[in-house]
Amino acid sequence: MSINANFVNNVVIVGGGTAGWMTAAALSHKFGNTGTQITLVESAEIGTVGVGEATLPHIRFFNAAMGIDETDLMARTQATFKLGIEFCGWGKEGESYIHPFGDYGEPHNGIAFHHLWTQQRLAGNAKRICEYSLPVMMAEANRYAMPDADPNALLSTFGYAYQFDASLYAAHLSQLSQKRGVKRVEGKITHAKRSADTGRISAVVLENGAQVEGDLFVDCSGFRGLLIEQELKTGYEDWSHYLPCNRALAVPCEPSGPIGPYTRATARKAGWQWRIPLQHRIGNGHVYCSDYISDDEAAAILIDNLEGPAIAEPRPLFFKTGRRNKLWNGNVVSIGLSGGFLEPLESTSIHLIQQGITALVELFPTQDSMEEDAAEYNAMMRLEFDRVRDFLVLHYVANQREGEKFWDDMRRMEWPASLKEKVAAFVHSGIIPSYDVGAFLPPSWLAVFVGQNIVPQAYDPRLDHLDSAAIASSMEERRRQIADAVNTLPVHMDFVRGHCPGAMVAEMVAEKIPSL
Amino acid sequence: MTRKSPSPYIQILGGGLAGWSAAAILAEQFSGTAAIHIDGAQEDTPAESAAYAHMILGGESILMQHIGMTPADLITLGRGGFWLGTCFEKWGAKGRNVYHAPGEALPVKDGLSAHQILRRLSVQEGKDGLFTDLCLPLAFQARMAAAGKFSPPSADRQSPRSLLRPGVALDGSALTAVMRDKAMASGVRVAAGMEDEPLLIVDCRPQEKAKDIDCRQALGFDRYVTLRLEGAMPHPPHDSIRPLDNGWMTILPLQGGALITLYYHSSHWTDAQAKQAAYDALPESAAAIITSGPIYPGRMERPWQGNSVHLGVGAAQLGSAMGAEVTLLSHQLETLITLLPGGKGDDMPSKSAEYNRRVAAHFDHIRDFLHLPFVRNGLTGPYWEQAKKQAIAPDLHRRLGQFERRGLLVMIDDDPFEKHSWLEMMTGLGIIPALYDHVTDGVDLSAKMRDLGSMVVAFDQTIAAMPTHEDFLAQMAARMTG
Repeated sequence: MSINANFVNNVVIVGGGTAGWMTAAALSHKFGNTGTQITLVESAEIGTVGVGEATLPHIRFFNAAMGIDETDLMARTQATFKLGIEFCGWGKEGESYIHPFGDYGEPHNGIAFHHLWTQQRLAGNAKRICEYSLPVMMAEANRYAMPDADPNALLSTFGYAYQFDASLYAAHLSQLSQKRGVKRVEGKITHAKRSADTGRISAVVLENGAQVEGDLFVDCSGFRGLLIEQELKTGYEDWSHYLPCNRALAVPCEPSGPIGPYTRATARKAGWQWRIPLQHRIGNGHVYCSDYISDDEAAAILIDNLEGPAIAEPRPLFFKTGRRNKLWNGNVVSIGLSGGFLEPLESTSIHLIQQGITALVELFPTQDSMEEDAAEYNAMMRLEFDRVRDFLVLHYVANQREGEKFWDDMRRMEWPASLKEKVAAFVHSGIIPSYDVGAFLPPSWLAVFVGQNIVPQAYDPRLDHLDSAAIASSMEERRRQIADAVNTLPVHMDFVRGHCPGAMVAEMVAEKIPSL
Repeated sequence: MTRKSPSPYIQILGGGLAGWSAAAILAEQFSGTAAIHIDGAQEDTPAESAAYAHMILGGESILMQHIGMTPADLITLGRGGFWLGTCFEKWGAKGRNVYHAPGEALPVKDGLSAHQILRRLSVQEGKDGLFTDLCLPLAFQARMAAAGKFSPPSADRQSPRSLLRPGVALDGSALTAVMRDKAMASGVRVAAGMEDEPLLIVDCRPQEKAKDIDCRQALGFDRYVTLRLEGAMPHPPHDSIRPLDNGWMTILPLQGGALITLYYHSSHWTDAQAKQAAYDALPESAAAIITSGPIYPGRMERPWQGNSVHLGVGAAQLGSAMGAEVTLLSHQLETLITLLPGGKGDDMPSKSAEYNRRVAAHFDHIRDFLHLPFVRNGLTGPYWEQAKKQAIAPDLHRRLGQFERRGLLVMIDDDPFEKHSWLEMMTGLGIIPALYDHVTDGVDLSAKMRDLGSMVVAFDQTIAAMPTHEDFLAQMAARMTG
């Protein structure tokens, strides 16, 4: 029981789906014993977007903090491991690269590896940069094992995430949350009521006339932004001039090729297609810009490029990239698509949900004053969104797909100034963006820069005064060690079957809550 | 196109520690192949000497790495000792000492910091002050510093000594000669004027003018007096900052003496008054003034422009508190060598922009950390009341606001201070969060307090078993001579 009654003690989450149930799971885990009431309102009639099947390594820490057993989760969600994302055709047509969850090579005399690689590349001695990355080579070879616990071991030099069925993940979190005391209310929300004194939202009203009252509302209603936008008119910063794709078609298919430990993003005529291999199916989708291609043509491209028979009809999604002007407005916090959307290119959707939840837990408010908490929350999330945006835009503007109008326009667009500086600094001086707060660390930037043929024109001049042959030899030794290590690892799906085989469908159906 | 760089020609302006360190380190970075000339090598100005005399070096400092001496040898050379932190004498509530002692953070269990548990307990007990009382015993390195004890860090993670991260503190005057010898041995030449257009001009000369970002008003000083104390006196493993009526003095204890620098603002004290205040605060007979003059705390907005980069106190200055001057110089040098231009035709603007961004961020964080005790202290009097009213920078405002509201420690890019350093400073100053983390309402407080209590007992026993810092130094010296 709380000894400080001032904390918000009645939280209402509007909307289920991944964002809603992640929020419910986290809040119930953190505040379950404090007397805080958590209610989630969702309607079986309203579908969830349910994409966002690929994740970033950060999700492991989120799950661990909620006491979720990884092996159990992977089995329940038909998950596979993910070592990175393969980008096909984003540089020139026919080229591909993998953005890995791990670093490249080793520094030499305090000089970062990418400088060594640049020096050796210019001298004609370097191999592809990916050959110095363990997770890339593992992914290319379709091999996987858990990282070595010894930080000095080569096999400790990678991170991993999951590719899972997001609806099963939400279902699992729903079960957990309800066991921890979250009250689930079935019903369609028609409108919100406001307090006459404060102007804050005091309740949401359901179709059947019932009211669900709360002190704090977490809007997980998706693109609609039921409270944050429809009720509060918070406003949206439109980023479609930077990220113009505005539609997606999602369809699962049967697997026919190897189920590798990586997601694939293949550039198409006016967008790109994802491939996310799960244990029991392949998730596919086509993200495109409707200004450049019709829905029918987009659907045809998607279907033509499936590796196996489709097992459902393509499901359309409509979106506008950008971010809510305030993700926390009054007593409403928007988490998930209601707060903003940056398209799924780098699997950031679930990551941004996670960041929003983490920040909300840290800044959990009192009933009397939320302004300071909201201001800090908005500052934190704004920075996250802005940095992810720059990273995503880089993929588009750095394409070399000449002769396709969409891609030509993307190359010629006005870049965000912050991104322009980052690219110039890398090209001219090998400087990689580095910050403490944000999803993408220097190896990620390096992967995309080099993968899309942005290579430094100069390297650290100190290298010219070191033994170049010794550097080349040391790099080659590392490359061989990686190749040898990869050969010792099991095939990805053999490891998955032994480690976390997917639960039988019947079991999953029996365990699902009625609404899902 | 291959961009193999030619042997670079680098001109360094100004001697002193900054100039000779830059020369020695750059020569080493280019493996002796660079032509490095130093102009004005004899110009070891009083302002620069005073700035770097109060020297604190951590193990990760680039200066420490390039000096090429063991901590024990450095201590002998500079009559110094080990450094566990800085004591802000009586700056806290009720005249408490406040320590900045940057050891390792306490392990966090279940995602809950100890201070949040303690804040909840103090709320439950209805005694706000209990929060401060309970936090302080958990600051292991600070407690060692306060007790005047010393033992080296332990590799055993079960030992409280594994939390230690000591540095060394010494009279840095002797180091200029060490760096000069290293530079000369690496082929650095003393030469007036320039022979050719240099790749890079490294300007290490102090600038006798206000800096672009001027901190004199905010930090309350624009003048300094440096004194040396000789004679036997206590030698704790920390330096100190002692408040005075119209200023403050840093005290660096040495073997057989101490170095003192008094900082004050000319609007509050004349030079004569300041010098008298220094004598009044010290054993008069033993103190001798070395130097005095104006000082320009602040930083240049763009220390690297074109092919000229400013280093040292001319580029950025904060006084000797917490060894800030040496920390700034070390960071400047470290940043410079990772951004060295690659030769003619290299893209200098992107490197200079990145350099300027990094050193500005580093300076601003240190300035904010130093400014914190000026705006939230338990000191009284017109000078200190005025200090408390000074405008604070947005990042510090944000940090303070979140800590005062709920004990949240905000993380900001490029911060050289870890969260627990901010925590120790804020709790030491008596800042009590209005709220605690709501998560603590759901934990078993008794069990948590038992865990924390066991930790404090382990800290007590470990500190009790340690030798005094003086004894440790004496034993070390005996081993070296034996």
